[in-house]
Amino acid sequence: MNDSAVLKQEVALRRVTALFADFERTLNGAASSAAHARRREAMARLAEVGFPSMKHEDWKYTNLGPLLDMDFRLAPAATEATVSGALLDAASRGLEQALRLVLVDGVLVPALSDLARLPAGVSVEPLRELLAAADEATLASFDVAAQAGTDAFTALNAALLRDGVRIRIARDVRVDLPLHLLFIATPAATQAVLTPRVHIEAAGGSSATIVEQYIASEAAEYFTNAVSSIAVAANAEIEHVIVQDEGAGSCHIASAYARVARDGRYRNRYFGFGAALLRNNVFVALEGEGGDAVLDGVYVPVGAQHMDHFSVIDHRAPHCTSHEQYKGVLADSSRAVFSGRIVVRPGAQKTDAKQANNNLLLSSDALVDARPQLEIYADDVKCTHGATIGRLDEDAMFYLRSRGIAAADAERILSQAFAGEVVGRVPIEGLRERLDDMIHARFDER
Amino acid sequence: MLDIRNLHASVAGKPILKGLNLSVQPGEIHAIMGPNGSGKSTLAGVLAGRDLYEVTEGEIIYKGRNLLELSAEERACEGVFLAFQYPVEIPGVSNTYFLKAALNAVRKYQGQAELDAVDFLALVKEKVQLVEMNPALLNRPVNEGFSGGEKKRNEILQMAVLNPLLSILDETDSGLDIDALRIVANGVNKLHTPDNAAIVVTHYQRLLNYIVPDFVHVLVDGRIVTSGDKELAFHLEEQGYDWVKEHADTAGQPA
Repeated sequence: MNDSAVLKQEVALRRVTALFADFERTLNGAASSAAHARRREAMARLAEVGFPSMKHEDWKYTNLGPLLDMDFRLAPAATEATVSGALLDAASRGLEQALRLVLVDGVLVPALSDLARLPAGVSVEPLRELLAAADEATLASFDVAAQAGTDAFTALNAALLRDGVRIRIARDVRVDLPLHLLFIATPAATQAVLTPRVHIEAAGGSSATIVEQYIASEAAEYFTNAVSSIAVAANAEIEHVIVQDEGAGSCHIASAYARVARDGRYRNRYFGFGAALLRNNVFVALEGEGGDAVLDGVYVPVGAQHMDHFSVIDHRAPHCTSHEQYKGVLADSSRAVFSGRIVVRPGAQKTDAKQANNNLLLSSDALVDARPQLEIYADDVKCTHGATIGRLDEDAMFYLRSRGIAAADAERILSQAFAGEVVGRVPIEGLRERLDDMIHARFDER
Repeated sequence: MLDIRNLHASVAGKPILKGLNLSVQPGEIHAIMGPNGSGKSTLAGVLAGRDLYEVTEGEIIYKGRNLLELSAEERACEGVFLAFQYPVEIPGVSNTYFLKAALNAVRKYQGQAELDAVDFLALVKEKVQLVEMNPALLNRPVNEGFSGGEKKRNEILQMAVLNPLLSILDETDSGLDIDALRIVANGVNKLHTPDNAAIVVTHYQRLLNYIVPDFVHVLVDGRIVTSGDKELAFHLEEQGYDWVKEHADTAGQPA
């Protein structure tokens, strides 16, 4: 890495430090609150670790240049006026039945949200209220930046945290309707850092499906730095589907931290379409016996898009299972990175971990770096991993074409089928169709 | 309908077809027989537009046009259909979706309106009966996990749905038991009209008990060495290909 790149990280950090000072001034009296003390801690941690360069082992294949060049402006005060009903309807296609929560530029807007429709046993609270109440135990419960240690972007999210949602599902409550969290970036967010924040607590025996969707109301350059934390109690189940369809000029960095107790189940399904630069981190700790994690992903980069998926599944207890499959279809000169680490701790016997990363390259200019990593410290475990990178099957292409289907359509049909294995596991039918259409649309844009 | 003149084609630089001539008129069924490696599948592949094969000499005129200038999908839309010797499995694409995409692509090309889901399903239901296929296979991925007979029936189903002018059946009989063979042949016979034509490529005479050809051609070393009616097929069955080969060695050299 050359000096100018290192300098870039430092310059960006200086800009963020200035941004933090601006943010602090807007807080007035609240700057001395307990919540803000945690922001300061996070900012200090970010200043200490700095933004990663490609020298950093976990960032080896992702150049953060386009992101670090941004202005890092303060996120705008959100107003519902900037969001049209047509936009909401379009964004909700396939999720019409869901309980919708709308966050504009990172701030929950009750007037656009179904807060009054929430079923018994489901609570949704704006984080701004919890931050203001400043109960230490509550603040600590969702302070993943303090728990996660050295991740720069998680620290940045915590340093600039102003709102978000806490979702709690009460004991043994099964939520039938999905919760749809719709994050909308508005033109006011141009060159700003948005810090969406979601904290989910699923009490013992409960289950819920939560869909996070990221869109822009108008094409703009902005930086979404999202963090989710998910606590899955004993025998609870959380389906967590993320549909990232950010504006074309944006950067999107997301980190999900899940902790799964005994017999708990956590499923994270990530579908990446938008943003010029994407980094999706998923960290799952299987902390009790019999826990189960599923990490699924589909990425369909086109043009010069860069999509990086990074995951760590930490098997800390015996008899846990994890299944991980990320599938990518890469067109044009796009790039993708897959790093999947599976850690099996001493004593985590009978672990059953499967990891797969499959890539389809539609262009000779597209590039994938796949990096599976297994760290196994127990002796009675079953762990498999595999990465494939291939091109469209010529026999299949000819078969379709010999039936009258044009080459471009044949390419699309085969690519959709390739991604379909993962799309097919999404538990909401309308959303499956929607995702299929979104993949289809990628080919029409080309 | 089809005129193949002095066709030479090679695979990976190796000449396979070496001056093949064949003329097919509407309403005719032509059988092409020949030993392994004689170029039967190459001929089928060249007609369908597989770019694996390079045409080095000669021409193919189809409906008055130069067939070789058309892409594989254009040929299909113009009514050329190849029933594959080894139908391809396509995981993740349902048979119905595939059939509908193919039919609507052809209809669009021919300036017809695309069929909606209701009309399409009615059409497929009718054609499925024609090839005596289990309708459950319609919802399964194309050919995936199909038995040999099911795959071949699926080829004939596609043929029935697309309603081609010129069908090329590439060893459709290979690997089929008599029951499956009878069903597949039955489907082909029902689809035959005075307006369309078929080229039946086969290694065995057996198929011709069920699909009765107007002409039988024997292909040896890339050229048709002898032609006749269906009696020629019986003769071949009795004498074996060695007889034709000898015949070819003495009489088959180009003038």
